[in-house]
Amino acid sequence: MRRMVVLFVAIALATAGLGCTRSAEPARTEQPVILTFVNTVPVPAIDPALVTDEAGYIAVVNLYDPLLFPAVEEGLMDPAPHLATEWTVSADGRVYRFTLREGVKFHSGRELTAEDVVFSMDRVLSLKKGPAWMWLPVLSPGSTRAVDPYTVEFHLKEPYAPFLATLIHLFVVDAELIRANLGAGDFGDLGDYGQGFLSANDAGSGPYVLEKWDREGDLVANRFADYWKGWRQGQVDRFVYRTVREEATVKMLIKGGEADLVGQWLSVETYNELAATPGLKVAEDPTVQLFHLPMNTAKPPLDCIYFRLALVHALDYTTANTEIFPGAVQARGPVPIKAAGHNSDLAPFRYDMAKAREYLAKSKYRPGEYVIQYHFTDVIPAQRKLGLLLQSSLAELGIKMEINPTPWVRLTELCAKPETTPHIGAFYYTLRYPHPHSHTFAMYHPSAHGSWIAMSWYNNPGVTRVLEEAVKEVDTERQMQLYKQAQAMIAGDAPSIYVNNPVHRIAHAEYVKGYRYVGLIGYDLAVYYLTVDKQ
Amino acid sequence: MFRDYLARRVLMMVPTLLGLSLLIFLLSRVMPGDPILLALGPEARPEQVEQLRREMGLDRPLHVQYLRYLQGVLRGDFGRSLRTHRPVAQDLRDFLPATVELTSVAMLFAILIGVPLGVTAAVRRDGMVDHLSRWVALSGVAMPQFWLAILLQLVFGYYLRQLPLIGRGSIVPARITGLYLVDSLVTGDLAAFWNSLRHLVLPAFTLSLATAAQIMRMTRAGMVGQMRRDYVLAARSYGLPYNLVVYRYMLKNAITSTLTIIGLTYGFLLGNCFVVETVFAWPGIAAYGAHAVIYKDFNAVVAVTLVVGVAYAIVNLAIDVLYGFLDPRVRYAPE
Amino acid sequence: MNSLNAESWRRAWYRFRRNRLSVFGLGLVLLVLLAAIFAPYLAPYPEDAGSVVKFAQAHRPPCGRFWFGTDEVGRDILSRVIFGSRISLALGVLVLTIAAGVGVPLGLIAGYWGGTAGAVIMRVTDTFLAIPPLVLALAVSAVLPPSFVTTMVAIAFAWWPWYARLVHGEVLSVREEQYVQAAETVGASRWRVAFVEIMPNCLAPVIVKLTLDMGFVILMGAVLSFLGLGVQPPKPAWGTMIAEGRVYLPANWWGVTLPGLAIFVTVMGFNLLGDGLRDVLDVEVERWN
Repeated sequence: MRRMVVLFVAIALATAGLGCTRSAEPARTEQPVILTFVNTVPVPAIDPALVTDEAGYIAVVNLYDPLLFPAVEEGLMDPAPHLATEWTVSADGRVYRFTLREGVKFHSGRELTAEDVVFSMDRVLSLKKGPAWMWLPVLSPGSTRAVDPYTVEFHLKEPYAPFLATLIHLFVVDAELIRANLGAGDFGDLGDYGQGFLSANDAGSGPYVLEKWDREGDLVANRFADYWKGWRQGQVDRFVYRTVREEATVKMLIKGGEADLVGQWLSVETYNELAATPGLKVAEDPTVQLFHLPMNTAKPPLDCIYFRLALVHALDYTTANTEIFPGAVQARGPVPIKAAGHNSDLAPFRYDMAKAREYLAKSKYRPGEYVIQYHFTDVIPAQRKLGLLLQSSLAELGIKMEINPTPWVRLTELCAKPETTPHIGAFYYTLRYPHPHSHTFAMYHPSAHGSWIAMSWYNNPGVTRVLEEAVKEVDTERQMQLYKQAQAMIAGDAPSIYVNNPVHRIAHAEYVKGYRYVGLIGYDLAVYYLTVDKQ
Repeated sequence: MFRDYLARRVLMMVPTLLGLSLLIFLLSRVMPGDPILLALGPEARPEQVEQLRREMGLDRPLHVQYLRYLQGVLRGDFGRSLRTHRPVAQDLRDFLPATVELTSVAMLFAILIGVPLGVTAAVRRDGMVDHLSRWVALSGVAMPQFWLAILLQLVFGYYLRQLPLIGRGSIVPARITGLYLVDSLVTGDLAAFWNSLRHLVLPAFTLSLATAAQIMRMTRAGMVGQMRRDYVLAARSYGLPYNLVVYRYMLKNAITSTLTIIGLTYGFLLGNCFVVETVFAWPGIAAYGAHAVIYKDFNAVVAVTLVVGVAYAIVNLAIDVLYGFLDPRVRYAPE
Repeated sequence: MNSLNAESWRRAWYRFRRNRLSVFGLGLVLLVLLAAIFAPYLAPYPEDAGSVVKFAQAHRPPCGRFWFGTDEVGRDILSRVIFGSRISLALGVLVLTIAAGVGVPLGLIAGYWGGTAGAVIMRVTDTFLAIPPLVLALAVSAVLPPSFVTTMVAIAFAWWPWYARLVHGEVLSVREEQYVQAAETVGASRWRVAFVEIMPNCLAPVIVKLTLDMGFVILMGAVLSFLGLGVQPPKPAWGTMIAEGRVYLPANWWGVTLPGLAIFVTVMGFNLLGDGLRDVLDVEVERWN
């Protein structure tokens, strides 16, 4: 027997030799208030110039401060003072001047100044990723200027209606910290523009400081003691974003008290079960969110409008919105019904197999000519069910569709090129800012191509023109008219199957107080506004 | 003499490892996706692509490419992971210890379950233990491990609330080897030790079951074979206590066949690790590898396959050496 | 010793029948086989194996209408499990046909011809055996899009070396037998000696291994489909059913139980049958893959 022990130790040591040593011991604090948020979708990026999805925004909203912050405490989405305390707009609508708050500290201890705002905006514009589509039409590097340490000016090429609203996405990074940590890259003196550094560290001034981020694992952030808004009793000391892919495990974790809050991607069955569990609460809110199935209009057979119209009429919307997404409201076009600027004259798509057959007959493609690839995020069961629903009625039309569960981050990467973009994707698209621009331009203007948000690769010069005109329009009424026109034109081309504006559900322990559905991506989980009261 | 034997064994590993690296190299070359674009990202300019292609030697003949690849691997350069955006080598360093710990503990469990059961089954042939253990062995091999993992998780983690559902635990000891059990013992961090142990129980037990079944069958067969030997009869006729005969003499002779099984089933164990780590969200290289396969993160797939192959080879080498240590006849056997 | 004529088969069957476990295994295998063949007649709702959704009856627990409950879109789990046996058996048969089809001739050539070709074949074989089969199959699945064919190719890719090695060993042991040398002296061609004289004598261990491997291949197929690398929805692969049913645990326990049992019973059946065959045919076959 002794030799068996020797054997075991030998195996352990032999293979352990491959693992390297590294020592880093986080200090253990006394009785901190920990909030564990469990989500099935991982955080793909924590760099404010790269984030595009909810998980990424949750990280960024907590680590960084935006120039303006939605008025969440009043339950509004409108941009309100945050890093900027006040602002003026020039008469021609082209120059925005902001006064910055004094005494805001970065996590590095440095004070935040206008230079940092300039650096942050130029960085987004240079990297041309993440939120860059919001500003590229009107700004370029150099058009943001620091007038003095507490004054910053944006010089727009043209008037830009949603500009103020977009600034809730301008998260300010610590320019000096980044300059001190540049890697090799394509940006001249600026190397990689700090992308390497910000892929593992934060450079923000937000309420939480990044402790660690294991991709696909935990993101842990601790309270920033010098946060400019100060701290009150009961606020969270330590925020843990834990990725657990298996829904059953997530459910067991929150029921067992190992999670305090779980995200919005679980199945309705699960939320119903959690709502019936003592000590847990499920918050249900009608959303300003679009759930749709964008179709790749750059790929046959979906480059044919009749084929797309056939698919649009082959989905059983009633079943989808009662059985799979209970409580959802069928969408009317791309802009969510409750969002500003929605065109209420649009008729919703109808489930009509006779119509579908009619359109299919008009298409230049035969039903069985191509196998349609449907990709959905592998951890979201509702999207699988919707795929099965669509698959069953397409089978009646003689169209073969394959259902592909795909990891979220990979799905977003597939959408970077028209060839790799699937025929049909299943996506939720949450409002970026309260303006119809958010659900039109980002999805259907060619300059936004390459992001999963614009996976339709839609390019209709007429729509492009109207969208560009709408952006420049200073007269609000006329502007909204243009957006409504664009919505009608887009819906007529059927680049997406607009399924619904779903109900937003999230489950949390009853002792988590202050949760409020905001509807702007990431801001629902601004942890600073939550408190934990475990009595 | 023992040193010669050891040297011969180590040398014999070299062609296998070279073959392994060649197989994996070829596999990596048929993987879809241009390695250049994978390295540079989708926005690379054509001249950048051309330059890197030359730098990486992808315009050279295949055998030259293989040599370069081998050089890279020996330096620990597996390229970058598409999924984690970090060098794969760094990911491996972070995730490997968890897998080493899990498989080692699972193997220990398998031995602790398999050997005594096998001995008892042999000593009391056709008794209740023998019948029971036969069914356990049959089930252990036939049961899908992911299914068993889910059921155990449900029963012990959820209904009984006795053991953690997933992960490796949040109480992390100071890193020395990366093996939580070892590190926490060395630093005297008992809280971390207990926490790590609790997290290990379910995944390690799940993983061990199939191997325990094999070890049990082999130990039983070996023991049954020993029973008919003259020395056993002689020892017993001298009136030596039965337990002494069984454990001191018979088991020692039967254990060599058990050892062979340990080596052979280690591959089985490593394979099953991919499922068990996935279900228990164990942060090891097997779960990393399984994710990489789903994600089509080719650099990571290639590296994990290679590391698993090497680990398998090393364990079998260790077993061979031990075998020679326990049974001197093996050392002199002609190849 | 392993020659297979009618008389020895009869004797083998007699001995086989005396082992209750082996007969039990045979029974299980026949059960699964019958389920696969007569699936459309046995399944209460055969259409549920295909592309249908019946949301009105989703998540029903086991009852008189649905003996094993229904899944997330209201399909009868029993019907899907019955049809799933077709996928599993087809996978096992195809993989092993490829594996044996490649491995047996290679082992024969390596063992009988020997020389450089033989050495190269066995080196390649050893290399493949240096990676655990599931790991190799996973690596191959990374290259191909998820489908039934991918699963089949990936597993077969990892499996053929076991047959090459088995046959190689067998050939080495019979190469010097008298009847082989007799055939050589009367001038039979190498091919004839290899395939007509030697191969039939390797058949018994190959048959035993094929039977044992059926279970392992089905198990591995289930693992790949559980991880989402196997057949695509709506096809009822057992592993996929478990992965999908898992979402609704612990309340809907039936979603994972029956598909898991189906795998268990099938693998157990082939293992018992294989063990029985090994005993009656009196061959040594390792089973540690």
